[in-house]
Amino acid sequence: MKLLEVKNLKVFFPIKDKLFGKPTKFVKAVNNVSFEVEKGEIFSIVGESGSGKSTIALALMGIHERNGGSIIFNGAEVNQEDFKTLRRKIQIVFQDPDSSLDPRKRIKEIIAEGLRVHRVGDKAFIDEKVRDIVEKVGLTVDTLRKYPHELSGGQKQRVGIARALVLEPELIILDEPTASLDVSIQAQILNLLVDLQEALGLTYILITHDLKLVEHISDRTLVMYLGKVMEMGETKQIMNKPLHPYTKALIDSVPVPNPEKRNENEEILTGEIPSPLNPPEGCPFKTRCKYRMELCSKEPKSIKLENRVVFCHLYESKNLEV
Amino acid sequence: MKAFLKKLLKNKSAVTGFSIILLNVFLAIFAPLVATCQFDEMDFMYVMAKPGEGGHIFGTDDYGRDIFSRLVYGARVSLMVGIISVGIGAFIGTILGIIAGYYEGFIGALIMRFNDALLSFPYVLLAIAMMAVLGPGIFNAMIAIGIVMVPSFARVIRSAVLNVKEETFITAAKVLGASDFRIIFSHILPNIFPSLIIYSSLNFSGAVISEATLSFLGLGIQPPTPSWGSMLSEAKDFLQVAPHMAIFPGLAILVTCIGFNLLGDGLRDILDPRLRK
Repeated sequence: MKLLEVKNLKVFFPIKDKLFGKPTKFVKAVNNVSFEVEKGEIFSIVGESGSGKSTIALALMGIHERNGGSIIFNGAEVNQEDFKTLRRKIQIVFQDPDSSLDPRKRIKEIIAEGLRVHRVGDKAFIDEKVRDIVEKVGLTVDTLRKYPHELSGGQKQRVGIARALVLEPELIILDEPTASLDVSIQAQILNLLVDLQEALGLTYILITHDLKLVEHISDRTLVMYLGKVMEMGETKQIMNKPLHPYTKALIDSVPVPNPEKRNENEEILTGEIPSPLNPPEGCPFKTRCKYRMELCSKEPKSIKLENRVVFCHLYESKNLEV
Repeated sequence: MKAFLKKLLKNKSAVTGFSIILLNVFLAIFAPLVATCQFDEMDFMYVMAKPGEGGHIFGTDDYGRDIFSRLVYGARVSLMVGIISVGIGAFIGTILGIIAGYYEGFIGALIMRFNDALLSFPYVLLAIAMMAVLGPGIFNAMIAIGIVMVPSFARVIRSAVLNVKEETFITAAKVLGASDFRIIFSHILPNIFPSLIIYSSLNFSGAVISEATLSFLGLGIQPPTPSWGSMLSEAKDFLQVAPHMAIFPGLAILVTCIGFNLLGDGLRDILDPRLRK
């Protein structure tokens, strides 16, 4: 069953003229992105920083206004006015637990805020619920009296997860949930997330640049570059046989912990991601792509191939084997 | 509340500041009991007497009025001016600063440009213009001084709000579905509180001096009623012959300002959970 359907999502940020405030240019942070998330799966969105991953998350929550496209949640179209109700059904776990918790609030108040905002239950109910959630994420009840600065990074991230869980959402967006944690803590938090998913029947959208993580836990993957979709499909398939040159380069750039197995024909990306203010015309990846051809200055079409979607001119006539 | 008082009593700078202010308030309220003379009583035997002469512990001024007694009575006016005008400035300035910082956009720009226009006037001129509209008198002076402080408060608060607004916990509150009202009062206000307290305590001395300026121009307190600021400005003509006339009111302003600053620092520390232990 489809839980979430995103069609042709567009989020543009205006660059305003200093003096009169008229938009002179647009940063196309998310440009024509479509995907579907099945109930109960882990769907990941990968890409370099600046590719628009987090913008998708905030657009799904209505924090950034859409410039086009539609969001369909549980079969119903979501308009800009509907977000208040949607914000109970979808929650985000943020990357940086240091800045995502209000330093002047006790953990109890932080976790209970969602319940207070939506006026769920009375004081006794909230107390009970908060205690329950805190134990579910593996913290002790006496943490509730503490302030965020008294906790470790991993504990703070657990609080962030508890805050997202308290409203009993159906979909949780994990925005780089482990990126700012120590490696040993990363594994704990990941296990917690996977356990919670199984226990509560949650659906996750995992936003990350960590391909190892994606390979480890996610079912399907969407690869983004400069606000556009490059490739989308089953994670296993993509990892084993990436079709898009960008996906291939991304996967090759993951270090292999074996000096003898160093890949001879690996493609390491050179150069920087182009400025989103002034993206290349046609295929956004053409400036760094080694298969670049004349066709690439035209917008690539969506091509369905081997059970996945890829946006690359190479496969239009299927004349090149990768 | 009990816990708050306990913490207040543990914080040395807060206790010191609080005691200084309490002493001042006490002096102001019980001025007739504490003062050795009437504030307008002239002792012609001891005009511009040095401290200690003729039983005048802080000496007398050019009319032979006891400086200690005038300081005690002056505390009434000066404390009131300081607290009320800073209160007015902080209150209006915080509202404008939060609106300008949180909503930015057209309203924010409008508020800030209006602010810039007010800031471009010399503040004494602005206060005089305000007094011309309101009419002379000590309460009108407090209102005028308070309003003159609004633009700088608005500016400081706005920049603090802009800082806090970008933190992820604000986005997190939005994601939870919190209203703007809730975000402003529950998340932004507590986090800009340190700036507000520090800036208020800094402005206290400014308010006392401003009152002196207005009084000097005949717009504030009317002589012979004393205020610290007006005593200071009267003393400036005799700085060479009778420096004590300026020193004691100056010290009174200084000590009170230190009191407010210490209390401000202490309050900031008490209210910040990160600095509590």
